[in-house]
Amino acid sequence: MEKDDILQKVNEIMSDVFDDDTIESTRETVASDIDDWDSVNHLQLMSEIEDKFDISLSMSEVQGFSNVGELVDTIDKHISDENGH
Amino acid sequence: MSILNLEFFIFLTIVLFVYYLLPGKFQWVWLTVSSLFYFCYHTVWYQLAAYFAFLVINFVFSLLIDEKFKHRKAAFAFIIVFDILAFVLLKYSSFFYLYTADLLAKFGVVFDSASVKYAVAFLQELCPPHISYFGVIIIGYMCDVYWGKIKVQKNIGKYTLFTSFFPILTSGPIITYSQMENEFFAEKHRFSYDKTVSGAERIIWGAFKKLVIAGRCAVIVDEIYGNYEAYPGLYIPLAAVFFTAQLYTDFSGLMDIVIGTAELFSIKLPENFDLPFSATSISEFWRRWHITLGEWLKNYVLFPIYRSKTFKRLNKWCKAKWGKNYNKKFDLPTYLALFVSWFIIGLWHGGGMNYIFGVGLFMWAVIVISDICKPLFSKLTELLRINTDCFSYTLFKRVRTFIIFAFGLSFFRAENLTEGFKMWREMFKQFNPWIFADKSMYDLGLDRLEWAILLVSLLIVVLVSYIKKLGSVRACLNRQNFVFRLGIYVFLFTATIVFGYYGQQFNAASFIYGRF
Repeated sequence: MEKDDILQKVNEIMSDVFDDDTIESTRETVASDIDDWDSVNHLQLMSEIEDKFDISLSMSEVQGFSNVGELVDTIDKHISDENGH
Repeated sequence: MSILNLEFFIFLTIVLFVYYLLPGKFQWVWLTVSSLFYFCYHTVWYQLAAYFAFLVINFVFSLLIDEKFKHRKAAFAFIIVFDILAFVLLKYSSFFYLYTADLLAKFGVVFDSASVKYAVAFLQELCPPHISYFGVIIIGYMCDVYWGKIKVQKNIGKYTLFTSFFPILTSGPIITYSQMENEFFAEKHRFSYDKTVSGAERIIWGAFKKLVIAGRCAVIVDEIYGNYEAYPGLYIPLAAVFFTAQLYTDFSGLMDIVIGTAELFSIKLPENFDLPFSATSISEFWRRWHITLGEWLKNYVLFPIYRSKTFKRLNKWCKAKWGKNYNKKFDLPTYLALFVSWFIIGLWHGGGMNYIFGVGLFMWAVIVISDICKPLFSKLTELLRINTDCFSYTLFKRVRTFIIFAFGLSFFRAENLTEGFKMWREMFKQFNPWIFADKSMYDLGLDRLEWAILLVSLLIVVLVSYIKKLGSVRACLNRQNFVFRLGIYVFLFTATIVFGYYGQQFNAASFIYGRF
């Protein structure tokens, strides 16, 4: 899966979690850009991402990324690792 | 040693003078020595022994959980259980003992053991000062090391400075290692005129809030709370409003002094307040009030609980039972995880049901109820055709948030939970709006001049908050001419000295948040 595809899928998950179909995040989007992105929604977002991509994020990853781009890179790293690259 | 008296001022001057004379690589050493001196001053030897034991045990374990130690998971579990147990036993054993005895008494069981009482008194006496701050900083540090968020600090001196930097000991902010590593150890801190002026500015502003405003609010609050049966009706919400103002000016004033003091050393501490009264909901309010405690609970309590195996199983169970979008209607796992977090927030503020309820579970209930009723409120505003995108609606939400917060906080000030409820019952005994028009306000301990000073000072705080909302107060000040700026400093300094409230019972040391 390419990083653009991951970003698109992350956007779909975000629309679902934040209950807002108009969300179109980019790699530069940060939590404060999205009204409902608080700690509770963040946890649900992480949980949905783990389910949809079938990966398991560590605590430092859940708390660590500073924008959507870093989240996409983290997901990409997990997918690559699981595919044995 | 309080941070608002002559003794501290002399100590600070000496520490600063030597600090800037030293080469960069010795500056942190000097700060560590000074912080330990500050801690040891007025602390009895057995409390010091408990402090050092806590510090050293955690340091040893931080090395174990970082290395490729075979049993690092077990070591981490052990140290976290140890820290929590030590924290709870030292700080809250008296509360838990009394509460258990009370509860058992209701079922007719007498729990009155002399040896338990002795053990509780011993633990209470042993409890080192400032544990609510350095204790939680250390627990957070251990988690960060274990999760791989930071590299362990192998130098015990540097580790001691991070956990016990003297300005933060009495009241926070609750710092994390990743925030502070560069601030403490990166390079030589050179004397900077700008930073010194900025630091002094913050200190004067904090002292103004504490001495001129909080001191006067306390007179009104103490008078009504101390004798609430004589003050029925609207006096009760008045006391709640002034206690909120007292706590805000006291705690944020203290934070200004602490952050300003660190700035004198060219060290930047995280902010603890971000215009809390501009919040439009309780959850937003708590993201703006005591920010570092909220962040700590989010990172080290809420996240680990929600992401634990038990909660993941609960999440799956809820999805299977109520469908994949169950959390849009009733998000059980989140509510449970938040319950634990809010219980801890309440308990952290003090061992008493009034704290656990007022600044803990009451706030949790408000957040959960607003989340459950969110769709209902949306439909209602739609049905009533209320414009939610205008100033008046935002103002309504801000006032609503303030009232809810002030109500919860009123229990914080009450003797206990029952007294808190009894006090609110007094409100409904009389409807007396005339107290604001006749001379009743002058019977609360402040005369006409004192009231004028209090209200004008509160107005200044509102004005400064408004400037902050528009941008930065400091940037706004820096744009002004030197003479104007000097005028403001002289005004604030003089006002603090002349109008500072130094009643008979006055004690500059007694910051509300300084006692945790």
